[in-house]
Amino acid sequence: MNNLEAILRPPERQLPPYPPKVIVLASGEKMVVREAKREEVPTLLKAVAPLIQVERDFYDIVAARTYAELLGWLRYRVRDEYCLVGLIDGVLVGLVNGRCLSRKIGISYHTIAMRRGLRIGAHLFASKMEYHIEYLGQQEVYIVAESPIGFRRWMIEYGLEKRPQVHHELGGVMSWALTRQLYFDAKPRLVVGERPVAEDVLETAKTITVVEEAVLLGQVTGKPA
Amino acid sequence: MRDVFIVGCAMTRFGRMEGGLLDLLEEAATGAMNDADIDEPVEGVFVANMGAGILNHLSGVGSALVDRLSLYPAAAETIENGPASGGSAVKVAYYAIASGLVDLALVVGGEKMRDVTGWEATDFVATLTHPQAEYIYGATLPAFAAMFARLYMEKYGVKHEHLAMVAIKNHENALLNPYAHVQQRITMEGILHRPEAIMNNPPVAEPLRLYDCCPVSDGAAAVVLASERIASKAKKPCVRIAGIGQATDTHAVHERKDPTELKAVRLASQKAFNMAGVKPEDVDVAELHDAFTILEIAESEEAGFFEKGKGHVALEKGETSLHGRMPINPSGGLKARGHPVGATGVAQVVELTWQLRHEAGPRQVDGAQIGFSCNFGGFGNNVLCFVLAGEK
Amino acid sequence: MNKVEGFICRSCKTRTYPRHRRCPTCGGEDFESFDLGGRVRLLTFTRIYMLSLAFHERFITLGIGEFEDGLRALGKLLVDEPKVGMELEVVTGVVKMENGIPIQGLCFKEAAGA
Repeated sequence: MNNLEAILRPPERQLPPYPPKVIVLASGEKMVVREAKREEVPTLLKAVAPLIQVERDFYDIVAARTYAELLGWLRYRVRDEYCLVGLIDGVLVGLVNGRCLSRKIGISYHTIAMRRGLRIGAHLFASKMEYHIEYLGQQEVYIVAESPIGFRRWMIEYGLEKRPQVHHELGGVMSWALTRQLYFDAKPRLVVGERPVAEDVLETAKTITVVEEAVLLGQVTGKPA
Repeated sequence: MRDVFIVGCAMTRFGRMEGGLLDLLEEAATGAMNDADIDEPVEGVFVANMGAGILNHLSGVGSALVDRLSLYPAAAETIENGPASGGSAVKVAYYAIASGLVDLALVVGGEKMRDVTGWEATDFVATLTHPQAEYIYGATLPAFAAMFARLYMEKYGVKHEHLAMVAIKNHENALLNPYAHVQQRITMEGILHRPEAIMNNPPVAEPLRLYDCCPVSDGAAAVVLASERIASKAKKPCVRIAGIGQATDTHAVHERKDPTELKAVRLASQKAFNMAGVKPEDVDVAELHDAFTILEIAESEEAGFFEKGKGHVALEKGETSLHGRMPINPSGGLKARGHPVGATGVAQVVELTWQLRHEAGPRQVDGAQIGFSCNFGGFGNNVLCFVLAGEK
Repeated sequence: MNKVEGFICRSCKTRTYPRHRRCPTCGGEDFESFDLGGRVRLLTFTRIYMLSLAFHERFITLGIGEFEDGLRALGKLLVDEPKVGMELEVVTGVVKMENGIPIQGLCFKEAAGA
């Protein structure tokens, strides 16, 4: 690394791992939720990029920002970022990302569901909160929503607290926070999944596959591919 | 009274659709008129819609559709009867033809609900509850279905598994219906038995959960009705509207004497069967208003297909499955075909027409001759039932 | 606090709620009003999680209460663990906030000594 790169690159710590888990969905399909590795980001970007064109349900803004966040992670421009992915038979069905503002405070970035109607986004968001509180051991997570679906779901289902004094890095609206107390209160009804994941199931989730663009767009818009 | 025949039908795909309400109505209407392929002027246009005023900031939908289709000077009206608007429009068109005033009529039902958020849609549907005694409390349609279900399940030993069986069956049927909104197989394990079910299938209004409720859909459906003079020239097999029944009940649900009864369904069914001169056991296929899973079970009993309190037993035995003794909701029902409120009553008639013309493809009920539909408005305060007979 | 009114038909003495212009029992059009209050038995209830526009809570609980003479009413349940058949006291309270304005309606709370 040259000196200039050292200046541009934020210091980074090795974040504690998120042990993979498996969630049986309404369809009976098994979704493995695991950490994405930095070297998998180019694959994730392939899935996120087409969604930037989807105006419906704020996919465009969420995808554009997630693309930038993931790229920032890949190129060492965002500090202490992570990404969790949802995989059914190795196929990417959703992702969530965030980062650590400090050891005690987490920042929730975005949630993208790439298949709809199975609560994949809700499961992944819950996994993200689980990571911050239980595995990163943080005191609270700052959250804002860009879409009405997100607002209604996260703020009301988790009963988030207002943090009017906090400037969330995603924008200027008032931030909300998930505290440890709120998390553990909500956990029995919102955080599910089994660990450890059976070897054969984990094996299916070893590499990330992305469906064809037309199929992906069909899945998020409801229009046949 | 003259006989009335269905000479053409069509529907749009249900789901979350692009375009406006009029685009959906236009697509269904054109499809039905092409299906009928009759070279005579349409004299009456009856458009079923519940919420264009609230949801789409639109009124005069019937007149607007006539203009889109250049059907002037046909008589036209928009018919609003809550989620039973579709049934009402078919009935009013029936009156027009049976009376001799009109020979050829177009009935189109449609709704564009996904222009608003889910909670705005919930609020919109809740506007049909009693304004002072129900609406202000935040009572929703799922809430009434839930309070009904709690008592019904307790009284008749209906378990949550039975409700889930309705959902699973109708989701399976919808996989065979290219027009259905929900194209997703669901499993008992995933929605009920696994620990994940708490999240996969969260409560909407206890004891009802997500998969006990129909989705919020856009869509339109249309039928062309004709007198015998015109029907005799039709190229496709005609379906006769053999019976119509309608009944109302109290606006405030708490005022009904027996809270485990859907009296208007029973009365409307009886009227329809009496008019048609057939019995429930003569019916080959039924489309019931399963906006909530419990309703399919309860309506199947009130309509007379099963003894009161035994609908869930028949369901459990597979009698209501596609190839069972009494197939219910081969289309997927409201549960999975979807429920664009103004379209539903017409869509039920469209599905039965396809079934009775033996054109339903992989979801065809073998040899279907008599069909029955139940279109349930409000929480059962205005119900329409139809008996249809396949014939030339 | 405004009470919620029920109606007694002067011809047949049937109590009704909500108001009808004509009595559902005898068709009479002359009513005397009364305040809904006292005790009810909980006939059925539900906890609603998917709420309408104006409600921002995680859930609300509604139930149908039955008075001794069979008259029934829907109300907001102020009970943590409702059970069908439990005895409840009818009170008036805020059931909805509409643009910041509280809307009063029937509420059911646990009956003292029940």
